[in-house]
Amino acid sequence: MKLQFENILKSYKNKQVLKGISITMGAGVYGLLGPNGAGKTTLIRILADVLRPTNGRVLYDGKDIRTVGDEYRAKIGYLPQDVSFYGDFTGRDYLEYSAALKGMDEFRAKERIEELARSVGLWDDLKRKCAAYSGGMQRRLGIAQALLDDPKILILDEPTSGLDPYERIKFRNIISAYAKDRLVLLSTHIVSDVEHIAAKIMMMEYGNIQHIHTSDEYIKMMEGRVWLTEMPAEQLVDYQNRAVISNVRAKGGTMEVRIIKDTKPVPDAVQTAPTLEDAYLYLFNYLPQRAGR
Amino acid sequence: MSLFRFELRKLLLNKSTLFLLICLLALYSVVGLTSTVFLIGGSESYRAYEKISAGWEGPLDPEKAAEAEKVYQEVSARYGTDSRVIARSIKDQPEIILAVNYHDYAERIEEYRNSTPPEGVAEPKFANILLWENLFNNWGEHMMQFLLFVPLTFVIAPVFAVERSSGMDNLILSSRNGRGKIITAKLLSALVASTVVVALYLAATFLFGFLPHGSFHGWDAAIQSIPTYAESMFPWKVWQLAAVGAVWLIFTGAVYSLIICFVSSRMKSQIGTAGVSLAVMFVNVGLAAMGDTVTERLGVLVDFGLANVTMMKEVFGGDKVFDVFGTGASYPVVAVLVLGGFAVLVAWGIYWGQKNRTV
Repeated sequence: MKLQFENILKSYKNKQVLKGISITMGAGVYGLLGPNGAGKTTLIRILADVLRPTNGRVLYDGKDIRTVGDEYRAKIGYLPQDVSFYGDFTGRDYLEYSAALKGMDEFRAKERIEELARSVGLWDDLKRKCAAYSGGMQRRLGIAQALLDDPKILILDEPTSGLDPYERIKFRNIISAYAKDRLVLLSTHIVSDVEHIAAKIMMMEYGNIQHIHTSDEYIKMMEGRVWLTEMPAEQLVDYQNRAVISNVRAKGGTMEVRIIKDTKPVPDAVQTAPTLEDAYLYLFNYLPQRAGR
Repeated sequence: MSLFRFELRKLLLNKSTLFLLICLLALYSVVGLTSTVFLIGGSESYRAYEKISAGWEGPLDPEKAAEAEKVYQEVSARYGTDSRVIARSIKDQPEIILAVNYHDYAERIEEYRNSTPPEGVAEPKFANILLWENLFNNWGEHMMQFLLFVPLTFVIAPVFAVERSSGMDNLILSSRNGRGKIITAKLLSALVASTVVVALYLAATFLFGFLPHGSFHGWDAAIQSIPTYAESMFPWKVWQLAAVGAVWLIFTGAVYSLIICFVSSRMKSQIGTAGVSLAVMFVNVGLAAMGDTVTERLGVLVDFGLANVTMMKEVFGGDKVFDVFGTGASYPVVAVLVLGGFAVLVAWGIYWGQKNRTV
């Protein structure tokens, strides 16, 4: 299975949201990271075939998804950024309706609904109206919907927003187990969502995918660029306007500050082990700041 | 559950729409009831009318016509010549109602004899068609367009617009059946919903139009006995016109529903859809209400506009014949062809639009 973005360009009036993206993806989990407004959702929507690019094509196994049409959409499971419901639908109605939209037969749909409702922890709430669900429950229902027809391509836009830490971990486990022989594209700005499960992480900014590496490669790139130092709280207030700080922790009377910088920021700073979050901050905050963007 | 059943539930079988249907049923029942009650006094008055009119039914009798003319002159001297004022003033006097009706009938016969009647249409006979005339008024006047098509607009308006306003578009457009089969399901559910609303109107006005007097008298009279259909080219009985009229209203309701579906597929809000759909309807009504010089100029735009084709008295009450490729075709036949073609075009537009729709 191969999915290709071929010079994807998307403009709204005079604003170019995507600026000629060309990437190829195979089976595995892909994380799409980037700040708000980077163009992640637009890219995801084009892949889900709910939005058409101004220029360029998306190819599925070499064929334009617009030509493949229904058969392409039959292979995808899509969780949009905002999950919506009809006011009088229960959780079961919503999943049954989704199954009908996906063209699943009733018996299989019933089986999958039961299986997924249990796996996302909504079995006891299926008879309740979706409108009465909490944000986290609605998100979990959306995840179940996306997984319903066992899709070959799973497209998830901000899947964990609204989930508590336990639900988030559970979600990651579900996706990891699911991803074998399938393509999962997970768009988020929560680094920990993709850190441990994504085979490749795409960093997106200003309508372009700037970097595609594994989590380890990003971390390796950050070696020698993450520093720990201590400073008084009063100094920190002034200092944080001039530096990219990835974490601050109160330690006795002072503050332990984690700084992202190419060179030693202060004389007593010591190097520390980098994380993917450091790489994210380095690419989207430190480098633009240094370049004066 | 199939997509159609879900779409039907979203459009029709939900609490708010069912509540609206119950309200409509009550409204239509009141319309049927009041129209028949104001037509003639109580049940006894009608019984009396039925009894005395039995002796007057049949071909024109010059003696009876003269007698009726005399009564009519007295009535018009007292109440004026406005038929509605006369009807209201004499509603408790069956003998006078009969005389006025016979007078009108005699005038129609005179017109018939002075014209060239359509082939196959015999000289009308006088019949007691009071309740049927009332029914056809309910089914074929402008009031019907307000009572029926305004609520229908609000029932059908959400069919596509709800997906945009609820944000479900994302899910639908990314699914296998979201750009094809769902349209079929939505259009079918809209047609079912429209049929239900029209059937409610037809059933309630029929039932409550006849129920107070407990009579279907006149069901087998020729439709030319009814003043509005005196010039009709169709050699039908009253019951046949009722059946054809019911089917016609269901058909035209379905075509109007397809137009609403099309508007809904292009709009983001249900209120916007309802507004545009009603505007389409009322522009048609406005055009049809223009003076003769304007309507003649507009020609087929008025003849096949929603205002005229939805009114059965316009379609079945005259003797209009259209030239279709050198062959003469009656108004309803051409209307079926025009509306059918238009419906196909609208449905194609909806399918095409959905195929290319984005969020």
